[in-house]
Amino acid sequence: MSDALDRLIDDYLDGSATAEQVADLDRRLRADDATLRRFTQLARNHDALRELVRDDRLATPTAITGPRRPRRRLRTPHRRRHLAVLAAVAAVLVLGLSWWRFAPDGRGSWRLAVVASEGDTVIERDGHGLDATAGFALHSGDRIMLGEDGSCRLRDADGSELLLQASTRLLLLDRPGKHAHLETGEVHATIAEQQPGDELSLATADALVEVLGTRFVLGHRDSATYLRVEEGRVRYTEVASGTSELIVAGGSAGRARPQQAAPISRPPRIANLIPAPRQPHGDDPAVIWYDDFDRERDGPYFDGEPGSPGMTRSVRQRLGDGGAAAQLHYPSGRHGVGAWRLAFGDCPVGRPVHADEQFTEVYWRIYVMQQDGWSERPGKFTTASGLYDHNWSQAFLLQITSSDDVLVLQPISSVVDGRPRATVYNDFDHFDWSRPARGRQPISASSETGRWICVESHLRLNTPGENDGYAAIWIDGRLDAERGDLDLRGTYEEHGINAIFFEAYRDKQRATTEGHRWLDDFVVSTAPIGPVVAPPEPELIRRADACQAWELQIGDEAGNVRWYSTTLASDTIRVRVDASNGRFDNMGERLAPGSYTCRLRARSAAEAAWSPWSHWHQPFRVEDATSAE
Amino acid sequence: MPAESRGDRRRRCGVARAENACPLPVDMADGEEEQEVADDDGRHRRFRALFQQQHRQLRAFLGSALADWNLADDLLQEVAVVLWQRFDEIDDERSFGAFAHGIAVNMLRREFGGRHRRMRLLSPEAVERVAAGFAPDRDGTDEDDGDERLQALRRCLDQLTARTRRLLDLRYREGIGLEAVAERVDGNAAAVKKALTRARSQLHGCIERRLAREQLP
Repeated sequence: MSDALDRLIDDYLDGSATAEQVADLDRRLRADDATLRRFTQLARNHDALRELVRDDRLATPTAITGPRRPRRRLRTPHRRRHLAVLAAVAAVLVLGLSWWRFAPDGRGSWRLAVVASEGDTVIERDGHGLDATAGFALHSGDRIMLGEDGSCRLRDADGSELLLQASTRLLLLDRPGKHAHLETGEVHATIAEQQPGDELSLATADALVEVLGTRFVLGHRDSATYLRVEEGRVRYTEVASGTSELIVAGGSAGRARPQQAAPISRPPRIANLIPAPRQPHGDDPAVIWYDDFDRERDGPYFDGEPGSPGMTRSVRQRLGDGGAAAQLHYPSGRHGVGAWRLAFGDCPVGRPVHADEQFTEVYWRIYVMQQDGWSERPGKFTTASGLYDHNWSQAFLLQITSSDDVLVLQPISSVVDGRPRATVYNDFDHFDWSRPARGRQPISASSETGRWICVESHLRLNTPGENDGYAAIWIDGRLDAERGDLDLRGTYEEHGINAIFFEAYRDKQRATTEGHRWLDDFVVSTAPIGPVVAPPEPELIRRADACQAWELQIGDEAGNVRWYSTTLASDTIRVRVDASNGRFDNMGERLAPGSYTCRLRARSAAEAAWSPWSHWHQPFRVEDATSAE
Repeated sequence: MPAESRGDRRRRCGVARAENACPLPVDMADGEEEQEVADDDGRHRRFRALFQQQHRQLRAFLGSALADWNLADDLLQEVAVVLWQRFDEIDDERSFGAFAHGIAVNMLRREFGGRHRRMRLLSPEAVERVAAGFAPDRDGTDEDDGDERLQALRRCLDQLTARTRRLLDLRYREGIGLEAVAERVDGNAAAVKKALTRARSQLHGCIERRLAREQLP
């Protein structure tokens, strides 16, 4: 078999074949049995490769019981009926197959997934080290390894949670039931009530803790085990002596706990920073629109009047310490109040800016802050559309929504044979939903509320007739999700990307609590934007979580720490990055022009241990002092 | 309200019993209920076992026909739903593979048959040929050597450099595009594509050599 044929098949199976290559392969497959045999062999290899390399996403029947990605919408005439049947069957399956979880051979097995992780956290599987990203499904046999700055929260399908502290190694044992071996470190466990007959245990080198519904802390450091039960009861057995005792709430066993881990309520964060008075976007020819929401601006926003309930601004919450921010309000039991809809380019609605231009590629950046402590998922986040009619009918759109705690990219097209088919706004019957891309950073998690987060989105339309479109989002400067090979517009060229929406809209059924989101420093550009520009001695503001002391570091793009704060007192919320509050790595007096990001740690009392370092967040740029004035 | 079928009740009660919350009909004796739960449990096990024998073959077929392995995962889930729904139609479990394959082919045809050009996929005629290439024999035997292939691949992966394994990890485990992989490894997309192509070629050859060796007498 020729190498050329292998390469042709390989390119096709990898999804990177050109239209000509696909046609060539198609012809050969129809004509030649040897090509067909080779194709099936290589397809099996591709499948095996993915199975081995990727995380647990096999489409076995049990997977049906788990959360599923949003579906590609079916486009048959009986789609609704079909979906209804599928939904009904799926509902039966979700119930029916969940029985397997309790069947004797699978009884109460771990079904753990990573909820959040910080710092150095790695999953060791089959000799490979895998990143512990949110949503990562764990297997029996996996070892979760945390570095000195690591922390990791795991959640089981039954709702139990394991919070692994810094420098912990936990092995999920490969045997029936839920069993894990704490090799070293400390686990804070909140265990949901187990089914009768289920087994759940955590072992260390010298003790075994068997559990029914309870809450406890188990640690194993310096070759000794300690246990403190906070709720319920556990059975504690010393391996050496075989003695066993029931430990109830308030009780402890093993040696004294060496040092109380810092009971910091949640990971510390930099909530806000003070941007330079003058941002570069006003003079940048690539910028289509810039709005710091400090004043009411009529014109390119449509379907609302500035100052009306739909376009309310807040002067209490804003990026920096002056001006205002756009406000989205989510009353209990309602979709939400607030929408900022920008028209630009060839938008047929409203009064677009740059009306004489067409845009096929845009970046848009927004700072977003979710009300502190309000961790409900606010549904829609932002949408970029190609509107082609006065009634807002969309030729294509990229929807970015909150799902669980992360953002999800959903590309959608209504173009068929070179013509948009949507006849009204959100014409779902004419939408073709591409495969979504799910983000990783839990921006709606409680730990991330109450701070400004920099979100930059990117949409590039396909070349007409090709599928080379691209969409991505970056959160705090880190790539969070992307989708390539997009074909959003087919050969349609009459309208480009011409509207960006921010709307308060969530599922009413889940709208159980009231909350707010604020938006600030909105930029739309044809080039990458990046975070705000700060002065060379930037001022940063810590989220006001209770602590006794805290420390801050400023790192550059390469991950090198460029500034170390002194130990800062709890009442120091706002700190200037200068030589009086810390030291620069180069003995300098201010940050050099460049891109930076922050991390911090806190402790609750003088004698307590420091919390792990937070992940790097709250990026900013420093420009030459003369240009930032 | 339509009458609940015996099967529905069995499924509902089978599950609910696990949650200690099933409102049993008053006329159902304990013994009968236990027997039904046992039947249901056995049915689940049989379905699971049969599906697990077939899922790699089905996924390889769907993935190769769609040239999109995530989409193939999605569609395979749909196939599993329909298979479960129609499981009672299978008299002879040896025909499960052919039955599952037929459903997968039909669903693929229905979902994507009219969109192959736009999605840059094989034509329906070529897909029919590929489907035939993956079709299990009617007597329940087929050439699926999935476990051996995985075993061989596992050993072959050990021969790759750490950098190449990292590329495979990024591309297939994290599922990110070539440009993003390049960004993560400080390379460019063309070089990443070339390295991945070379790695897969090396793996294909290695797998075949190992599988062939195992077939020697």
